[in-house]
Order: sequence, then C-alpha cells, then structure tokens
Amino acid sequence: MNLALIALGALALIALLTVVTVIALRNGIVSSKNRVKRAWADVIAYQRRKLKVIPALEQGLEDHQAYEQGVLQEITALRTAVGRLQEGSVDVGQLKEVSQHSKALLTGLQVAVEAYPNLKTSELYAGWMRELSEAEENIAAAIVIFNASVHGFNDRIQLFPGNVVNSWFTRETTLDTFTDNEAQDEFEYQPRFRPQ
Amino acid sequence: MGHNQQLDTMLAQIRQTAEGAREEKDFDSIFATLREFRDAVGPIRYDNRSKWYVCAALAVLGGGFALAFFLNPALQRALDIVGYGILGALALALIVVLLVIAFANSSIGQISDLIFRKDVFFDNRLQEQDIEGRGRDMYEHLYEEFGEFRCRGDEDRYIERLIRGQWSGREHSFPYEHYVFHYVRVYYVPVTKKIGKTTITTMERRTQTLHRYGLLLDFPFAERLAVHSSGGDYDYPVRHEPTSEDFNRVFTTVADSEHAAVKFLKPAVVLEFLEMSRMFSGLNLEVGRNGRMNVAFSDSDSSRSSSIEDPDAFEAEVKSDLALPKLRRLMTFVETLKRYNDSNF
Repeated sequence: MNLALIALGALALIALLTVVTVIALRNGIVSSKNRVKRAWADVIAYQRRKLKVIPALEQGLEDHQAYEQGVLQEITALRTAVGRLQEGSVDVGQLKEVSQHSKALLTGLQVAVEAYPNLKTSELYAGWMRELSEAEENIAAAIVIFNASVHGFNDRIQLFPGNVVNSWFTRETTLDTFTDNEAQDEFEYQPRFRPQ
Repeated sequence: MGHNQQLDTMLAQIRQTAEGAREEKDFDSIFATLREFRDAVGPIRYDNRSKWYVCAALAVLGGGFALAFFLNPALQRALDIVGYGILGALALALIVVLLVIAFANSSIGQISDLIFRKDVFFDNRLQEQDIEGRGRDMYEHLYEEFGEFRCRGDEDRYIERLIRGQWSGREHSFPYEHYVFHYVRVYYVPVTKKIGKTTITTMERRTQTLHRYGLLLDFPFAERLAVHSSGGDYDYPVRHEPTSEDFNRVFTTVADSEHAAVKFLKPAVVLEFLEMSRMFSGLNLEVGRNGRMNVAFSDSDSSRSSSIEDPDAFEAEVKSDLALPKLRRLMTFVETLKRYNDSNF
C-alpha cells in the first residue's frame, strides 16, 4: 500500500515537473520572440531618428547653394524606404534597402562637400555629420543586438527540448538575421550551411 | 660602515629624493646613486647571513634544551616554570629574527613602489591628492551621493587614495578624480572543536579587506540613473531592460524614469557596456544628482615588473611610457558615453 502511494507520488511529482518545464519553455519562446520584436522596433526607431537629421541637412545644402540633385533624390528614396519598415513585421529585406540608400546618401554628401569647400568648413555641417554618423553607429549597434536576439530565438525553437515544445504549442519558424551583402561579398570564403 | 648600514643610508636618501620628485627627470639622480652603490659597495639588498646564523644557533639551542628538559624528569622538576619560560623565550627570539629577515628587504619594495607610482602619475598627468585624515569623511559624502558605496563592506570604510587627472580625448576633454575605496567585509564561519568527549561548534568571526576603484566626473547629459553589475544599493524607482539579452544577464539598469534610461542606453552604448564588462570585473556606473558620475570596478591597473635591486632594468621600465591601460580604456568609455549623450548642435 505504502509502496503504491510512493510510486503514485513520484509519478505526480514527475508530471508536475514536466508541466512546469513545458510552461517555462513555452514562455521562454514567447518572450524571446517579443525580444526580437523589440530589437527590431529599436532598429526602426533609430532609422527614423536618422531621418530627423535630414531636414537640417537639406536646409544646410540649400543655404550653401550646394544643391545636388543626386543627394536630394537619395534623401527622398531613404525616407520612402524607412517609411516602409514596419514595427509589427520583421523584414530584413526592406532593411537592406534602407541600408543601401543610407550608404548612397553618405557617398553623395561626401561628393557634395568636396565640391563646396565652404560647406566643409561649416560648424553646423560638422554637427550634422557627427549626428548622422552617431545615428549610423546606433543603427549598426541596434542591428547587432537584433541579430543576437534572432540567434537566441532560433536556438530556443531549434534545440531540444525547445523544438518539441515549439512543435506542440508555439509553432514558430526561424527568423533571418540581417547580413550586409556588400561586406560579405568581400570574402572569398562562403560557408555552405545545410538547410535544417 | 657595514653593507647593511650603508644600504640603510642610501635608501633613506633615495626615498627622500623620490618623495620630492616633481617630474620623471628627478629620478635620474636616484638611478645614478643606485648604480654607484652597486658598483662600489655591492648588491642592493640586505645581507641576512648573520641573522640566519643567529636563527640556526637559536634553533639548535632551543632544540637541545627542549630535549634535555623533556627527557630529564629531574631537570624538569628543578627548573619547573623557569624551564618553560626559557623555551618560550627561545621560540620568541627565533620568531623575531625570522620576521626581521622577512621584512628586511620590504623597504626596497616600498621605495620601488613609490618611484613606480609617481612615474605612473607623471606619465599619465595625474596628481595624487593629500587626503590624510579625510578618507572617512569623503566616504560618508560619497555614501550619500552614490549607491555604489551603500551596502558595501561592514567596517573600516574610507577613501584610501584620491588622484586627480585631466582627460584629453578626440571630442571631449574633462577633469576627473580616480579613487581607491577601502572596506572590510565581516563574515562568520562555523568552527568545530573537540574538548574531551564533547564537540562544540561555534561561529568564528573572519574579516576580508577589499578595494574598489573608480572615477568621479561631471556628466551633465543625464541624471539619476545607474547601470550596475556588482553590489551597492540604488534608490531609483524604474527598472529598465534594453533588448540585449547579454546586457541584461550582466547589468541591471535603474533610473528615475523609463525615458531617462532609454535616452542614456542607446544601442551603441549597450554594446560598449558589454565590451567593458569583459575587461572590468564588477562594473557599476551611476549618474547621481546634478549630473555627477561615478564609475567603479574591482580590479586595479598595472604593476611594476622590476625594482631598484636592478637599477638598469628599473630605469628602463620607469623611462618607458607607463600606460594605465585600464584607466585609459575607462576614459575612452566615458568619452563614448559623453559623445552619444551630448548634442552635436
């Protein structure tokens, strides 16, 4: 009788521990996904913050008669691309487009500055460029944090026992990290990962 | 005059010169004196041979007396308490001579430390402040100002050293104070003793002397927030978690408002903190009232690799640029924080 009770108690304890573990794993996956979303929202927020510097830049270019059609076009293209980024859905493809326009704008600005030396020596211009460069650094850092969050999330849903819990309850799919294709193209070596 | 007496005189002389040194060039006469002594008198270390002979004599005498005393009951009865007194006196004399040997060369280390420390200050444009008798008051003041000093240690808490410096970075130049905080942790361990057939467990008091190192400077871009990873007690109502899981594993962020924390912890700053946590143990940062910043950590900076015993090697070390890599890294970190928090217009 006593033995049966002990066995029953042990079974109940194991069942309880299993339930608690499953709940913890499921909540871990959900909170990890939420962290990815927050990290993505940070990337967008810093992209938008960069846009706030641009009106001042436009005004500065006009004040110095450094009216470069190419630069102004890039500003418009960047605004449109950033506007397409949505906090609700993680879209690294769209982020790549924003990144390309940012680079093109910075190149265009450098060309404009070389052509207008009085703009180069302007204190205000130096301030914009510092602000723009800090915005770019913060975007790069936000992307690093976003990628780390995505790695953490992917590990949670791919590694045992998280993969079992994911297949039962959350049914999440792996997310893509943001990679800079231009930087990657400079390497001759390209790893070949087997699809999982 | 014997070797040791000449060494005493020479060390007293170079200590005086080192204490009065105002620039690295002032150490030149010290190295000249050291070399002169080495060539004319001998090695720059105390000759302890005679003390070792005394030690050996005391050990033989004590051992012989102990054998005779304990193996001969008649002698033991005759001498009684006096015998134990002689044994105790011999043991004490032996300990005293051994301690004299152990500490004989410590003054060489102390003078080397003095020269090295002053040269580090010269190379890094630092000025040691005279805080004699004010260390405890300074601690009390900092206790009121920063959470770093609260709930840390149990007794004997004071600022041991205070050094003033000026950082000239690429975008920001600012004065700062570097401090060494001394405190003692008291803890109790269970100790079991057997008295006859009874076993008694008592809690014995133990102490551990510890240090924290830190910087104090003005940071007019933020107020009342803390990012901490090791101890202290911070009285801020809002806890903020940035999106970086790695950051949150190491640091806790508290502030007066979520807005203040978000504004301060930009993504680039979060990554900078993570990098710092790999270099510094127990990193705590706080910006208190009126934008006063305290950055504290547990591990100190560089130490010397040679001493005045080898004047040539020591001179080469002193003449090199004695960088304080940790202090410099900390200053670039603070400059980065200023850069991301200031306004560019």
